[in-house]
Amino acid sequence: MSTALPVLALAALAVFASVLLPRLLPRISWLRRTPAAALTLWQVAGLTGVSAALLTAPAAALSLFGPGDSVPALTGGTVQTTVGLVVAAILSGGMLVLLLRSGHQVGRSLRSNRREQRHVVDVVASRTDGRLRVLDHPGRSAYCLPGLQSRVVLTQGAVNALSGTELEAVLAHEHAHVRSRHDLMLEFFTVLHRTVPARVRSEPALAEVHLLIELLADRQAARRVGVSAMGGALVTMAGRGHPRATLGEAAADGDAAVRIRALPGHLRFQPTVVPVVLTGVALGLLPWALLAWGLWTRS
Amino acid sequence: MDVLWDSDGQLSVRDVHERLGKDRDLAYTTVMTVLDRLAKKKVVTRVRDGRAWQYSPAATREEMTAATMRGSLEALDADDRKAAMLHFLGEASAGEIADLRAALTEVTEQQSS
Repeated sequence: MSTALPVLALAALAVFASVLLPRLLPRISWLRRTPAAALTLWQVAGLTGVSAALLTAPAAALSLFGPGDSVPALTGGTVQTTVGLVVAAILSGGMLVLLLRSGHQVGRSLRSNRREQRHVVDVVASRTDGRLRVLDHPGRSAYCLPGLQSRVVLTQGAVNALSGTELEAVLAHEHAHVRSRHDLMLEFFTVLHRTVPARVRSEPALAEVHLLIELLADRQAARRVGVSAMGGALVTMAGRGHPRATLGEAAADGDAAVRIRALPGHLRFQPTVVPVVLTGVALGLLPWALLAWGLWTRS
Repeated sequence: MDVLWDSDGQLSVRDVHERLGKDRDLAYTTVMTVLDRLAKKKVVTRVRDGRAWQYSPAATREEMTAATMRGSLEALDADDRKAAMLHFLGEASAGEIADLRAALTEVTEQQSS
């Protein structure tokens, strides 16, 4: 008395987690109050999408062509099971190869880009202090090159414009990125983004994950240097040392404004963390529960 | 690199080694290796003069800094290079300074009340 229901549910879950959730989650703005929990939910969503997609074919083979199956016209259940499993292995294996290939490509391009940038900033830096490099440039810019040989890069324009505590805030923010290896999280999402076909990729999803990672670093910095220093740093860095033609005017609710408004919340406990974490746990268990259901109805 | 930028003309490995030697204790071969690597990366150019290479910077520090900044900003637009570096604030996400200042005032007042 096998049924196709668990298999269909798995396939639906794969589509839901990898196509619909990336479009849905950026619209839930209160997720930004708890960046760490929200990022966990995003990661779970990604993993669920991958595991549901990989499990669908084997589950179909096992539950639809299992012993005592309900396809009476075809006899010899074991042969069917074997053939089904082989087809399933080819399908899932193919998906896995695509995923690994995009992982390899993204990882290689990231690391070679960073290495190149690191060599250049090491050469052109006008000041060097540990892993900090200051570039003699009038613009206001700050970034980090994450990794094992990490660098934090600041322009002289930014150093001049920032007050003492604001500079501390910028450094605390960048060190949070480097220390917590936020780049690995971003790499994971970039790999998933690149694995799905271009038509179903969601740019807002990647942008939202970027914002959440910045919010997370802001939170760690705000806890060290305070809300006003962190907010001041954001305002100062948003002011241009030299005008640069921007692509269209920035929206009034750009990331900087969102990040400033989120600052006080970083110091308080947010009750919304509870539903976010619970949803994450449930979502993460769902593909495995569906697989178990499929195997159970088989007997 | 500073030594090369500070001098006007071309320098041999020996010149660079002597100038560096004032500040720190470096092996001649170390300087040679570093200059060789910089030349391969096209950061410095070199011409053969008899048995020794003569080195000079490929661009001024200002030119190279500007090129680095351009490169890091261009990376903001390219999707696959976005994750290579984490910028404190993306160019397009800045918003109006007056609005940001107002938001900050609001936030700090909320904080103190």
